[in-house]
Amino acid sequence: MSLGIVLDIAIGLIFTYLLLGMIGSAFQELVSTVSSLRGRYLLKGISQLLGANNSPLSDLYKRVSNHPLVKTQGKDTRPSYVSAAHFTMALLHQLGDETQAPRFSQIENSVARLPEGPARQSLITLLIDAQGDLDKLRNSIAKWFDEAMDRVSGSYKRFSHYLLLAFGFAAAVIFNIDSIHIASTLWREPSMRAMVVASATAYADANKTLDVPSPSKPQPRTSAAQIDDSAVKLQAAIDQLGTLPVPIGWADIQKELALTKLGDSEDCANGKSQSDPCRIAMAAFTGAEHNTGLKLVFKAIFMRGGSGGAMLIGWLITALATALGAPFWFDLLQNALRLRNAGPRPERGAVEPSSTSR
Amino acid sequence: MLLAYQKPGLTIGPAQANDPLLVKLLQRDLRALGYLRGNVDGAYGPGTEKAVRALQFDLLHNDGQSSGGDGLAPAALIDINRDQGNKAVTEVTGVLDQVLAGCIAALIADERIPKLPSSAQAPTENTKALQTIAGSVSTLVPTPFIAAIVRQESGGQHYRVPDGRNEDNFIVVGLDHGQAADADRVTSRGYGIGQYTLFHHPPRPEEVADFMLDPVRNVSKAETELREKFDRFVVSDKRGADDRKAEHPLLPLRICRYAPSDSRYLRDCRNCASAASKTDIGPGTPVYAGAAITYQVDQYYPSAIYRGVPHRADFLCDWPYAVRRYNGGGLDSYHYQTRVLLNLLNLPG
Repeated sequence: MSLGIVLDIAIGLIFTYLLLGMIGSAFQELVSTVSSLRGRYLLKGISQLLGANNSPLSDLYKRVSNHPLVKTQGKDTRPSYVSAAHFTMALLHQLGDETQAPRFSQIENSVARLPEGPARQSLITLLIDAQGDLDKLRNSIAKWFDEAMDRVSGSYKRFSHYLLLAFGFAAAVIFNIDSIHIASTLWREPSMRAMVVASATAYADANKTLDVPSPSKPQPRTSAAQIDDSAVKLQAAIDQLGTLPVPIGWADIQKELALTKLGDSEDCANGKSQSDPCRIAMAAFTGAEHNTGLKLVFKAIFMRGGSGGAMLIGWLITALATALGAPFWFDLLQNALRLRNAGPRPERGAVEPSSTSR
Repeated sequence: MLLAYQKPGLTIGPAQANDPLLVKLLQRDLRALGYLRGNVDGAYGPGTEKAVRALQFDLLHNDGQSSGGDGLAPAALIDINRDQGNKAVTEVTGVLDQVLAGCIAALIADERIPKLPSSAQAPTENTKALQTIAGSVSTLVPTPFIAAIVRQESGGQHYRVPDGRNEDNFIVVGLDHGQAADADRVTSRGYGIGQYTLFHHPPRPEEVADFMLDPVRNVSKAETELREKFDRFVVSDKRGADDRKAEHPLLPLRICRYAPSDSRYLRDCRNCASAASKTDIGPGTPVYAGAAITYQVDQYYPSAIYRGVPHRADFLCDWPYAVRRYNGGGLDSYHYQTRVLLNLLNLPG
């Protein structure tokens, strides 16, 4: 077995996963934006700091989250991003005298009057640590906010990850992106391998960096622009995947299922067998009903013996690989291509051209 | 030995012509015995009358006990009065007669009773004391607060400085009087630059030698007392300061914003006072937000108008509250606190 072939197959798979990952990321961003997911998580984070909706502190939460510095102006009232400084100002403003600059003593009194709860405890700890110094209190509240947002961002990331995994599996099933099938086809077909590697190389040459939205980094943009942007990226990645010369899609399976009653279905489907039943079946396939939707998926899994199970495993591999995210595959693709190019170049012969002759 | 004003039939009192020289001698004796607050000028004014009444009251009532738990007086004035037999003082009149003159002579002659010190170099001694305070480094209390306190307590004087007709060069003494019917009773006396307070009278000889003759010892007594107030009367459930409770209900006691290793530790108070926001106070201003009492003029503080007072809540320590508790409680302590904070802001250097 040649290492070169394995590397080429790997490049084909990596490139497929990269494109899927990019589609996944764009999809993810689209879902997040449309559902104000980040805003939801942000407000959830603030409510965790100040007390959840039905806690005794919900009044403070409401006042802070409705503060003009926190609440986004416009139709979509959920903020996609709040700076720690703005949060701190809004909070101190609510705790102090609203008509003038906050004073430590006022804030301390307001906190003392807050109902018992984790937020009060946290604020008391911060107050005690600040020892009366308003600037110190500002800094520690900002840090407190940032840390809470980091936690929120962690759960937002986890959610995004699951979303990507679900997307990967759905895409694998809907478009029949079966990693095992792709690998074995690439193994068998040198021309397909060459085409895939050429596409991957072209892509890598054209894209030195990967531009995918990161779920953890908030981008202070308007939702409408964000949705447009995500949609454009989604379309581009789908187009790229559609033109990729790897065996994906249901057409082959449909054929195979239609011919499955025939003894030599594969040769039949490939047109290698020209027997009568084959021809009849092929005519029936092209002209008549074929399996679609869930029925097709069901049949593909359960009516084809061992290859059905392999297909399921192939989809799972695809889904898990997609969940690793586009950046991971992008880096790996670059490394794989570098490795491939760094291999021996027999056409150059044994003599290395050297600029420094001795 | 007879005193100059021990003359048969002589009385010295208000509303009569007095020999200024004799009045001056009487004032000097009243000053040395700790009954006259100030002024040795030969004029028998309300201060001298008050001092005579206080002495007469003590001869009738002072049994040498302390009202503040600081030990017994070396002698009880009622005993000395009783020893005079049929020449004992029997009532408070505010007029010096020969009975009272005899008692004063007995007190002056009594070796158990120390006389308050005076200084021929009062200005020099005072300057030296202030410099000592300014230059001292204490780990107990913030020295600038002490400097601001002594300016409020004694105008920064340990000894009164003679001025024209007024020959008073005795140690500065502050007298607290009882209320209403008890008005002739001196309840406590603050001595010297830091107004170290005693609740028994006369003082014991060792007390005179300690904080009366030595201004530095006097200040160190004040420091110890201020620290005690800081530790026990600022943050406490029962004895805590009301203003502290209102302004910093959550913070634990704060000694200084700087660490002990910092050169500004307990020393940078004037800058803290400058950094604090300023507030104007006038008659009717609540002593703290939500307080029942408001600033008003009273017998000790003839003005209740203060401009640009550093806001005590803005200090990053609790010494402003301790200063008030050093003085006591109630309206007067708020006047006192306000003046000390203004002094702090205006300290030289």
